Amino acid sequence: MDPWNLKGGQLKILSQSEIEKIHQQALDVLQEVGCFFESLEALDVLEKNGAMVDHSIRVVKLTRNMVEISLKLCPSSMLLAARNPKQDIHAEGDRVYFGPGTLPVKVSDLETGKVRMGTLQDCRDFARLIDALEFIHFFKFMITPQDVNPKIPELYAVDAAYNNTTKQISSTSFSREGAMDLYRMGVAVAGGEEAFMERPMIIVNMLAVSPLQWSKVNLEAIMDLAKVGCPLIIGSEPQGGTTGPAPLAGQVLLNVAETLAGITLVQLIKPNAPVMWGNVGSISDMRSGLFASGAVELGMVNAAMNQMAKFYRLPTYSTGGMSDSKIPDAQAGVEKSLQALLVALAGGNYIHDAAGLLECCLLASHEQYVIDNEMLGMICRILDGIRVTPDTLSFDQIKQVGPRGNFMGLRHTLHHVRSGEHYLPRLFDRNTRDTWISRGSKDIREIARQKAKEILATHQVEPLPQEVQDELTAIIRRAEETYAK
Amino acid sequence: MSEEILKQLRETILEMDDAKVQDVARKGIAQGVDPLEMINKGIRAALEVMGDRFATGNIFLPEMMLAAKAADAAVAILEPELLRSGGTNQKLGRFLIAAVKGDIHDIGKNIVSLLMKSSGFEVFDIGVDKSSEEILEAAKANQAEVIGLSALLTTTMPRMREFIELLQESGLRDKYKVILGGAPVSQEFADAIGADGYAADATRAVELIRRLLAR
Repeated sequence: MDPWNLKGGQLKILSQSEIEKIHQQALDVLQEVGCFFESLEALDVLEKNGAMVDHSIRVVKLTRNMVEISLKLCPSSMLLAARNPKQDIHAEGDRVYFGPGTLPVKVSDLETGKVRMGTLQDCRDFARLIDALEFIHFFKFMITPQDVNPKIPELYAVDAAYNNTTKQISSTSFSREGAMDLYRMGVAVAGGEEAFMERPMIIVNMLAVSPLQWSKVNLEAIMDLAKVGCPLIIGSEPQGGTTGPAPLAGQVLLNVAETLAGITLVQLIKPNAPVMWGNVGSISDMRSGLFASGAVELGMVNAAMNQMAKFYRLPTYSTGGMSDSKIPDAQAGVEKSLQALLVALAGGNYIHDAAGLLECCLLASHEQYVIDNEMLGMICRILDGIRVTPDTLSFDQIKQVGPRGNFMGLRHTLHHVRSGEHYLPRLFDRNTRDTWISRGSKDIREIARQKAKEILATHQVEPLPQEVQDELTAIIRRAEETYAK
Repeated sequence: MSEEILKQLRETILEMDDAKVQDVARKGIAQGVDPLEMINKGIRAALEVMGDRFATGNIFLPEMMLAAKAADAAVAILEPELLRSGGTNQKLGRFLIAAVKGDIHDIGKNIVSLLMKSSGFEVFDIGVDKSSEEILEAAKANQAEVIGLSALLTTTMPRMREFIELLQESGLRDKYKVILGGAPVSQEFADAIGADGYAADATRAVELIRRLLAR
């Protein structure tokens, strides 16, 4: 099994006619209801290109034509370059990659087990941890550090990431200037603007706020980044029952409309700009109104949204692998596995929040990362599928062994076991009870904690060239002295 | 007769039926039932029942919202009558709420606003993306007693600290109770920045405010 070359797409949760129905209704939503665009600059661009703009309420009605033309302009594949080219992400078709949980503020301390606020040192440690975890393919803003300038936490987190993992980097931003600085950091690591065009070293995500509103900061960031050709993730995250309709179909419809509105703007700013279709939607628990991050409906909605993206021939960013549990327990295991598997089988290209998160995306846990890496390994095995060839059908071996024999001593068996036909758990225990007791009766959390400690104590990452490190530091310093002052 | 009207008010609110609750309110006025009594012993009593049911997970959020909407519809009929008869709909306290600068997420704030309003407080919901200065200005203008700050984004939480610092610098820290809410916020954070309280959800926010104001 090559974890860098896996495909999903086996799951079709929507039929072709349902996909087309959703598409047509999304165009109706944009044309009849419209979408709030807070930025005057964006309103101007949309109006010049034929949209109906009500300036008094900043609501834009997009014509079907505008949206459909923009969709045709979007590239259907996207290279996201990593420092180590073997870890490049080729977001296209049904290819599947997994990334970590993003933006938690709290960390479950690896030494004390206590929950505390996340720090810049955590940003470094978690980046190094996922660098070592084989089934986590990319980095995405893993901790919101609480001990840095709160105006630019993304710059600190991304600097820490470039220095502590060779995997591909992505982040969101919280200001127009910050978004451009993320791009500049990507350019610095790529080795200049031209090199960045060949091998873009960062992707930035910007989401709408449901229902149907794009904020000024996000629009400005989107327009600036589109102009320079920085890869973008455009999407939204309606929550069924509160910020989106309760039925999942309505939620998908809203998510599609909001995403289409953003993508249309991007293509009007710069035709053929690289943009990834973003899905983050889930439901609210209607007993409280709280976001249900571990809901199985999240997996279903994301699976459907992936089908919509494939209908539009766009690379996809999606969500799956979260939990509302407070600790790495059985609830976490079930919620995470179901979501991540659903989204992977739907062919999500760039699946984030697939590991490490607990407590409704507020808490990051080292041991949970290690456990989730195992879960993702198993999902990778599922994606690798069942190859049916004369060799794998094993007719000759069945004939050779015959009734009442066994397959243990065959070279054929050895060959296939060695080449990864069976996924061998890195952590999960398959020993007999006696063996398990003799090894200390350890529970998976304890085993995972030890593994995480071992990784952090030993794993080394190839450092960035000194001049690149200096450039990144200079970008942050400039930000500190200007807009983040 | 007044008992019958109060009972019907409570029942129609529990049924979340705007039209019926308004009919009952009109009937009450026609029969000379005290409007204040209808608000307190009819409408608010029913909302308290709904609030308890919501807090214990026995009803869904939309039921709470619809009951509050029905209550609003009835109060809209009763309040003018109350004023005409020389009375006032005495509120329990003055509460101002906003989502801090940089945050345009408003669902949590809206739920708190609604529950506070239906619990009998005067609520000034000044919206989203409000700077510390804007919030303080509005608090002064509306003579707020409690100020609720809401944040969903982890990056806008520092604005809460900034607001408390602004109060201190202006020498107004003791004039207002400041409470916090929002997914990334915690009691620990509230303590760390010197807020007067934190509530994990809307029903607890109402309890917290009642406690802070001793009402």
